[in-house]
Amino acid sequence: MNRDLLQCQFVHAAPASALTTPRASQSNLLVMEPTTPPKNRWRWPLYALAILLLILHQDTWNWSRAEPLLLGFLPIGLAYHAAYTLACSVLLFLFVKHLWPTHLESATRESSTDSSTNK
Amino acid sequence: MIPALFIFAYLAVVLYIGIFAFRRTKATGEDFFLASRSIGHIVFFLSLFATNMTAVAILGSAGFSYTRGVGVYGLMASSSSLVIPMTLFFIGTRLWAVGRRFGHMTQVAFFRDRWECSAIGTFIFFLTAAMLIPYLIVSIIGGGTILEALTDGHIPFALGGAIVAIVVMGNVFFGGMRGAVYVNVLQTLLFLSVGLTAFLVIGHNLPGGFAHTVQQMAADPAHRFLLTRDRIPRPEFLSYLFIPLSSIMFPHMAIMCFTAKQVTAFRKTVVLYPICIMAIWLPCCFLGAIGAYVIAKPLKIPDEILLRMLKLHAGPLLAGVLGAGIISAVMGSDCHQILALSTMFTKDVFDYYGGRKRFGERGTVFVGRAFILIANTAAYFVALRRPQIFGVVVPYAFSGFAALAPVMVAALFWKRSTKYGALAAALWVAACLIAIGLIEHHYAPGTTLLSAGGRPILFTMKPRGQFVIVGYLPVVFMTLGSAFFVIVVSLLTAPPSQATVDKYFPRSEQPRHTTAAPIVVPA
Repeated sequence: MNRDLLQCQFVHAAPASALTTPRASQSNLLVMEPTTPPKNRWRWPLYALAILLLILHQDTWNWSRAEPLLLGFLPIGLAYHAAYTLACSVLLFLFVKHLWPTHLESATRESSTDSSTNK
Repeated sequence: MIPALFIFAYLAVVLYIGIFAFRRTKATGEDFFLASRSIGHIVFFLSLFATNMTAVAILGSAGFSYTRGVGVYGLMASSSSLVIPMTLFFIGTRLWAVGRRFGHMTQVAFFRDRWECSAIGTFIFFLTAAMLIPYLIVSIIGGGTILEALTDGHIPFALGGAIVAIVVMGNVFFGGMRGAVYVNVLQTLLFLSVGLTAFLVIGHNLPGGFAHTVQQMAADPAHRFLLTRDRIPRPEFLSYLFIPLSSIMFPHMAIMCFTAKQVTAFRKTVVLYPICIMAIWLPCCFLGAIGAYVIAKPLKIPDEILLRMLKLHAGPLLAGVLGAGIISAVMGSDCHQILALSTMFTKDVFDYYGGRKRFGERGTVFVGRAFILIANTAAYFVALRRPQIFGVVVPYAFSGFAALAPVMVAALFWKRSTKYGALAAALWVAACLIAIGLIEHHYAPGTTLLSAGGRPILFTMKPRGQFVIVGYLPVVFMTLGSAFFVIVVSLLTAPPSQATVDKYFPRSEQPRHTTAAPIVVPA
């Protein structure tokens, strides 16, 4: 079977700072590295974390519960999903920090016109 | 009338911003439709968020919670907190890159070039346009509802909707994307701040505060469901995990992705997005459920609950400011929806079939503006019928766009995908939407169309008549079916040319397995 048939392009470059742009290194030599990108050890753990978070969204154990009331007024089911939302933000922070597609940052215009498709 | 005065002042500011943006807009298509892809990080985030905050998020969520309880937050908001930023991270960034690299301004333009197709792209255009129009209508309904509720009917729904439609149209007509984005910044800041204020003020003015009210609700068997998910079936709750896939497929969201100056604009956006969703949805869902308990007389239109709570417990002055905040959220996305429709028609139909060659850049901008006028007017007359917000949006717009997400994923990530796979998926989505529309129109709520072993398989839910399959919303099967058709039909049909594949999947971005030593040359 042609391996290209199902080859998908999820390319993650080396980890980068979460909320800042990486600085370009300066060198008077041009180093042409082997084209294999370094393996990103964060990829599969973070994917697994995302799937876990997806599963945890279906909190059946809170379905008919109103108590306990967090902060005195938040039903437990609502409080759980509020905490879930914050957990999503943390997860995305980790994605940005460790799986940011740095190879996209150099995208430049190759055509001077908007799409020119074949009719 | 005090609240209405605040809202009119706000609307005047929106119009002024549109005119201000007009003076800075160049007479080119790329500047009018995409602000020349120059949107900076903070503005990009605030604008993207405002684009996604609609009458559904504000009025619809409160109205839904009014009838079904606080579980609506988990139903739509927390799932969106995960799925939407993820789609922006994976899909949005790559859309930006292909837009920057190849000059695409719409999803259809990208699909046409990616798969070397023409008529198929045109079909996808008509499908997405048909699904976007209900979303447009929702915004007009939201605006009319707000003005009518805040003025106790002195400004009737028809007039309120017309005022909102005209202001939005004016802002976009003159300012294009620049006008829409500038207004979004104001709108997001306004609504985020007033949303929290509304929550605190209502809580302070409510007899006994939130704590006492919620404790009473928990002890009352007739109202306890408002604090739980007892009125939300589990299959429906699971189904709603698919709905946020629609976000990235909404043309106005995809087009917003093209406007960022740099891809790094997405960094802060994806991290802060969940927090902003919570800042808006949590108060709205909570207040909607509380309102069902504290307001004794049932509302004919549940979507009015938030406005009713503001008027009762926040006073006219604050209600006016908060009303302006709500209407800002409603209009924020309306600007983008109408602009997206205009962009799509102009680029995917008019320009593509020779309009720009014949009439030039100015002609393109003129057609874009004319389309804004026509589409908004048509949407207004449909909005006059006033269907309940969720009943309009969920079956059609959300489900249809969510089901098209596999097409976008295939275009961006799968070299072997073909135009026929995309066409098959789009036809599947169109057929499903037509079938759902016919079923819900023909059968009364609570009707079982098909059962097996005494268990209903296909039926319409009460009270709104929503069609479900074994309890799951059609969006689940539509999305899975779309993915199936993209994969199977693509594998059975010829791929695009190698040149096109190499163009979109350059070797420099592909993982390789060589072990050659590095070559060092002087720079």
